[in-house]
Amino acid sequence: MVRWLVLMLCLAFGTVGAEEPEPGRTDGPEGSEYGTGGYRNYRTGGEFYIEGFFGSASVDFEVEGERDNQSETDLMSGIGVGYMVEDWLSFQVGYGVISDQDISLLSAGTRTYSDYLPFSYFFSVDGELFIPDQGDSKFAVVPGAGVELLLTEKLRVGLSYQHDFVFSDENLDIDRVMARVHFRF
Amino acid sequence: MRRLVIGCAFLAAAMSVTACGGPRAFTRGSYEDPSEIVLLDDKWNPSDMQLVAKTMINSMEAWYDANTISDKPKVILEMPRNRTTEHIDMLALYEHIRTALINSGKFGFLDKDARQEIADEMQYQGSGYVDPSEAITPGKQKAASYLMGGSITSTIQEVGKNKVIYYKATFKLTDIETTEILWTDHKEIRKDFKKKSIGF
Repeated sequence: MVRWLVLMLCLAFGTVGAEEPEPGRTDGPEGSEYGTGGYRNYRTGGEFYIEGFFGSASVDFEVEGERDNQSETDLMSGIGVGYMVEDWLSFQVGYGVISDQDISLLSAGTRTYSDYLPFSYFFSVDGELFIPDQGDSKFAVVPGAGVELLLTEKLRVGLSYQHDFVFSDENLDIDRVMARVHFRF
Repeated sequence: MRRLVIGCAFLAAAMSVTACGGPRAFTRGSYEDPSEIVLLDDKWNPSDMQLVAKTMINSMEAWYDANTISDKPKVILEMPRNRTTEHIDMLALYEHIRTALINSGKFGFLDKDARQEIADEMQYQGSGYVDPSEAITPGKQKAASYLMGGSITSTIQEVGKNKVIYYKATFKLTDIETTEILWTDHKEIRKDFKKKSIGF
């Protein structure tokens, strides 16, 4: 799982180096303005993004014969891709794994952003499929919130918190705190 | 059941936040170089005006340099015509050109718009209220020898996601005495746009 994180960081920094050409000017020689324009940098949505997340997931679950729930905290990592419909709204899908518990999480949902440069805050709601290594898959609703720091126009890093409400199992829920690397293209 | 209620409450709260993310006010800004080309939409923009003005200024100065004109030409404006389908501030374009030409020292422009106010002021100064030795007397205004005019036309082609906008700005300088067009030039601008593929 570390491999894709490294790959994504390489991809992110590699692409940041390949900047778009400088916007043209109207005071240059005749024809110097052709083929350039600033509008790519000013779009209000229409961007895709990819992000990796890595952190801890605390899974609360019921153990048969015991009165109190047990909690197990392990490392979690995953990857997500999304599309910015507007500069404040995106749709995304994601895949994550809680490593030592062999739990896979497939999610799809929306995210809303509010920018207070250089920070960007977001709220998210996902529908999620909780897929344990043994036993049935379960559906969960996962609200979350987070903050990102804008390193460049395309690259962000951030922290987020999400809580899984697993509807079919009242004794099962997950709290996750994640570090994120988010790249737009 | 309690979890279901809490889950639904969270969902509702998050969806409310989503709904709040609608159109927002422009509350953050910065000063930028006005000569840099920025295309935020498909309308006539300041860069178009600057490109047209630059071409006309350079062309008129080149015409002046190429012709041996003994006296500084006195020019008056025939308001340029906007024959496009959108609003274009033609006066702003004209003023942009006029400022550069006056500053070049090669052309003189007469203030047609101020004529009525000047006439009123002269009438007042000659009414006896003003010291006659300081009062400006009529009869010293210069006569225009050239009329500067122009027009902008546009053609729009739009198919599917693609849109091409073509502007053609033509300016001319007419000798008032002979009605001969002594100088004319045009600037063509073509802008290609593509709609975003997904969106509300």
